[in-house]
Amino acid sequence: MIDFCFYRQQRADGGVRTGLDIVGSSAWEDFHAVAPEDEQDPALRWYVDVRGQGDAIPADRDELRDWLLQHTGIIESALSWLAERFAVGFDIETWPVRWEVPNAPSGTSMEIVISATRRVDSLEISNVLRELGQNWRRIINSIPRTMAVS
Amino acid sequence: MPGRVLDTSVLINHWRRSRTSWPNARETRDWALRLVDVRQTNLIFSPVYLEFNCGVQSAEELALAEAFLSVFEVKDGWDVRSDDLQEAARLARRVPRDGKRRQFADCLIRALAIRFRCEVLSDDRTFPRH
Repeated sequence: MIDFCFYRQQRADGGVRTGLDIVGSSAWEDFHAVAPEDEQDPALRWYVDVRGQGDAIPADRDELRDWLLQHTGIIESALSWLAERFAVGFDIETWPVRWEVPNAPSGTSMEIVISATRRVDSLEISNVLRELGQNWRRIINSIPRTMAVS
Repeated sequence: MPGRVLDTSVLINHWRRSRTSWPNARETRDWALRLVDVRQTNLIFSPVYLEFNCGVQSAEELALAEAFLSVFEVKDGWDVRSDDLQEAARLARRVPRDGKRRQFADCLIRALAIRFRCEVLSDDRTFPRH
C-alpha cells in the first residue's frame, strides 16, 4: 500500500517549509526563509499535513502530483470546511487534531492533521487552512516534473 | 519524514499520557510507534535521548524507557560537534525579556536543528527564542 504526506509548516522565525513525502521518503521540498541566518529559530509554530494511503495512490512522484491535482476539489473542500471549524473556535485539549477527509477518492483514505503551539490561536490556524486550500493547485503545480534523461 | 525532530517535551508528554499501571517493554514500544504515526517522524537528537533517560528513576523504568526510545532514530548519530556547542552557547546568551532561564538541552537541540536544517516539534513554552 502506498502512502503520502503533503506538509506545510511554519517555524518560529517565520520560515515556511512545504514538502511531499512518498512512503516515508522525501519526494519534494521547498523552504521559504524569512529571518536572517543568525536569527534562525527552528521551533515549529504550526504544521498541516494532508496524508493519504491506499492502493489507488500512485507511487511515482509525477503521477502523484497529477493525482493530487486531479483531486484538488476534495482537498480544497476539506481544508475549507476545517478552516470554518477553526474560525468559530475549536476547544482543543491535545494536539495534533486528526480529521478524516470524507469522500476520499476510491481505494484511498485521507486525513488532515494539524498541530500548533499554544501561542497560535484558532483564527490563525483557520487562515492557514484557508490559504492552503485556496493555493492548493498552485502549490502542487510548483512541484517540478522529473526530467527525462535521454 | 517532513523535516521534523521531536524534542524531549513531546516524548515525555506522550509517555505520561500513555502510561498505564504495569506497562511492559512491548507496550512502551507501541506508545512510541503511535507517537511516530501521529507526528510523522521518528527523529530525535542525542540530547533528547539523554534528557529522557535522565528522568528515569529505577532499573525497571530504564528498561521501559530504552524500549520506548529504541523506536526513534538519533538524527545526529551521536555526533555533537564543537560548532553545535558554540551555537548553543550563543543561544544561551540570549536572555529573553521575561528573564526566563534557558535549558542547556534545549539550546543544544536547537543548535543541532539549525545544522541539520530541520524543525523542532516542542510542547514546551520555554523553548529558547531569540
